[in-house]
Amino acid sequence: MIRVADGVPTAFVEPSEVHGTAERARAAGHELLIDLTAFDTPERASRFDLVYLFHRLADNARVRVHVRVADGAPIATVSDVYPAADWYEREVYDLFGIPFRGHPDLRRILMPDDWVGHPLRRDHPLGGEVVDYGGAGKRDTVVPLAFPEGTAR
Amino acid sequence: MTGPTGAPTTLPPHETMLLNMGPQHPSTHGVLRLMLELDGEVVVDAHPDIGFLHTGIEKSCEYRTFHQAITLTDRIDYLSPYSNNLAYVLAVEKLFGITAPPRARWLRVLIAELNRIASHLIWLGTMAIDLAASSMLIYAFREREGVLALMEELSGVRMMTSFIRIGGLPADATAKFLEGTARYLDELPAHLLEYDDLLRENPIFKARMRGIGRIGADAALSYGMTGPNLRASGIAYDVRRAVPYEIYPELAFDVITETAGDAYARYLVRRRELDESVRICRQVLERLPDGPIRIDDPHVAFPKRELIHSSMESLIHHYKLATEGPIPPPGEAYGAVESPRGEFGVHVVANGTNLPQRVRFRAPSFASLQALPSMVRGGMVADCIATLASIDFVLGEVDR
Amino acid sequence: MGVSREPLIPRAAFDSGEDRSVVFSTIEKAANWARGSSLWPLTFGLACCAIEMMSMSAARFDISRFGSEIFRASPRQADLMIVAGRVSQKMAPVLRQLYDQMPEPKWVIAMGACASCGGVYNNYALVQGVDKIVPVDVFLAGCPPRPEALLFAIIQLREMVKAGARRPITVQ
Repeated sequence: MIRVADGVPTAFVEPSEVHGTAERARAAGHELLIDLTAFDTPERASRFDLVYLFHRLADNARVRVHVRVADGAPIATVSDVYPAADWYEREVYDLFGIPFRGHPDLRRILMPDDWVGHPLRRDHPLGGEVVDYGGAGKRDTVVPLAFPEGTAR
Repeated sequence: MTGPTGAPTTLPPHETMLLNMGPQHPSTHGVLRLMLELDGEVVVDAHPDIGFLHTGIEKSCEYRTFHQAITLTDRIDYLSPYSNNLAYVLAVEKLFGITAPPRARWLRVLIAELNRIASHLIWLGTMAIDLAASSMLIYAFREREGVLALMEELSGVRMMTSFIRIGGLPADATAKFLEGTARYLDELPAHLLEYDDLLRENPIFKARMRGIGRIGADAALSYGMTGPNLRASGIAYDVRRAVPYEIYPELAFDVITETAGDAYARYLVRRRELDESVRICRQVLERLPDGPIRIDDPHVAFPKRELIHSSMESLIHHYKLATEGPIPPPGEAYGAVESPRGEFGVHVVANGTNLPQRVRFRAPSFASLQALPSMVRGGMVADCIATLASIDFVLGEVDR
Repeated sequence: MGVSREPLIPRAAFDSGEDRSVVFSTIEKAANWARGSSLWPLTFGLACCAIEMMSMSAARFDISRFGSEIFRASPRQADLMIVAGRVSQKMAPVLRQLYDQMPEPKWVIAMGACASCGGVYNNYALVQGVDKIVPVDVFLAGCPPRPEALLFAIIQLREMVKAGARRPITVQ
């Protein structure tokens, strides 16, 4: 389990109970799905933690739901209970590769359609390129700015 | 049925047309690709395609110390950079279990509200120019220059100030900044009233905004909408009152709501929020307490600059904080602020190392854009522009 | 913060010294003067730099006094592309397509650190410098660069255009 440092009541549920938990949250009056995200701890067998955050307007009560999912294990969508989950689940699928069973339109949302890999997994490289900081003078002409005497900088 | 030349005069049943708007388009407020299914001029459906500004900020934060990541957060919602900074630092401070000293918290609120004023001014200007009221853009940016000058006086940077640290602020606000803010707040309301004369009761403006892009309260909630878009549909949800942070409980301000849920209601909500922000800033200036602007815990917050020059321990702490960074105990925390667009939340997961395991940015515009198709269905293409302008989303935070 | 009235690299520095006929060089000079005095940018604001670009086109810094009266929305009608903001992998083909649509002569200013070299974001998501996709005439550093800095870059570009030169120059 994880130390919760912000005082929000957190429930840890099994992947099979996700849909039921969402329905119970809805029934308990939590109208807003504030956030649906995930993070990756590849050292664990169930490497992904799905995090749902619900909010109830009446008394501003929040509840967080943690679900531990293994790689490739599908998990039920909650977009039928909370339509907001549609894009959030697409984002989690795009960036982590967690497939959501029953999602109306599960495809990439942030990365290009032909991207291979799921960028926010911990084993996906950061990417980018090596920068040669000693390369001045090789390509471009770098001319330092000259300011007239007496002008403040 | 045939006409005089024998040609048919009724069209056969036709399909809808797919019109691609963007990603480069003057009115999409960024790189949004909106695919509109049109039946003539009527929008049958809209399919937003996002991801054209995906920058990998969340992944990049995992390769920065908790302190270094502050500068990356500015560029998410770039119209109001301080709210991103504040939300992130609030989440990290929860991980550490610390709170900033009172003067720092009051100043943070002041800077955040000034950023709200700047962001709403941009919204006002860009919304107006989308409706072809181009002088409003010029006026709005003129007012915004006032806020940017204040930010420059405070931090040296106009936009991406990052003027915040874990445990407080990097430096104190100068007298020049506080006097400048007071002067700016004295002049702004009169100008805002001038702009009301231009827009608020303007029959053309009202005809273009009334009844356009309507969304009901239940639909807005089901899409996870927050902020002025939700408040324009009648739900009085404001993070500053619902999940208070910093010193907002001690301030007097109203949560502005409207009931119509259309573009005009969203305009009214943000317009009145400008007045509320001025009110909040005035209260902060009056009641700003004295005191330190950063806590004294050397394992989390940078020691005072004077101490670094005299104390060996402070020098070592500064060095460790600047290189290795502060290390929170493992855990997770969610910190949210009321950004000009809604609830901007940051979920930070720490695993005991000096780098965060995950930094997640909950962007309010993500939810608003999801609701966009339901708001433009059945309307005209030109009304689609008005709706986009009234939602006030930022692609930087949608795509991160 | 003072900005020198002199251009960073004066027009004469671009003179290639080639021998040209009187007639053509006069026409060319006139054409280049006209082109440089009325650079019409394409509306291509991507991210935060776009806001400073909008500030530059607003009343305080006012780009129209330099001839850029209108930002054209259609690439077919623009001759300057100010890439203002970070270019993601998904946006790169769009950028190239827009550049290809612009008629000759056309120039590109890479505004800001992200457009020049990927900026703060050396990662999978961004193209590390827009010069990987389009030829850039002026790189402008800053995050975001002040409106005055962008004006400086545009003035520098004007000098280059009026001289008929085309070479990458870095403005610091």
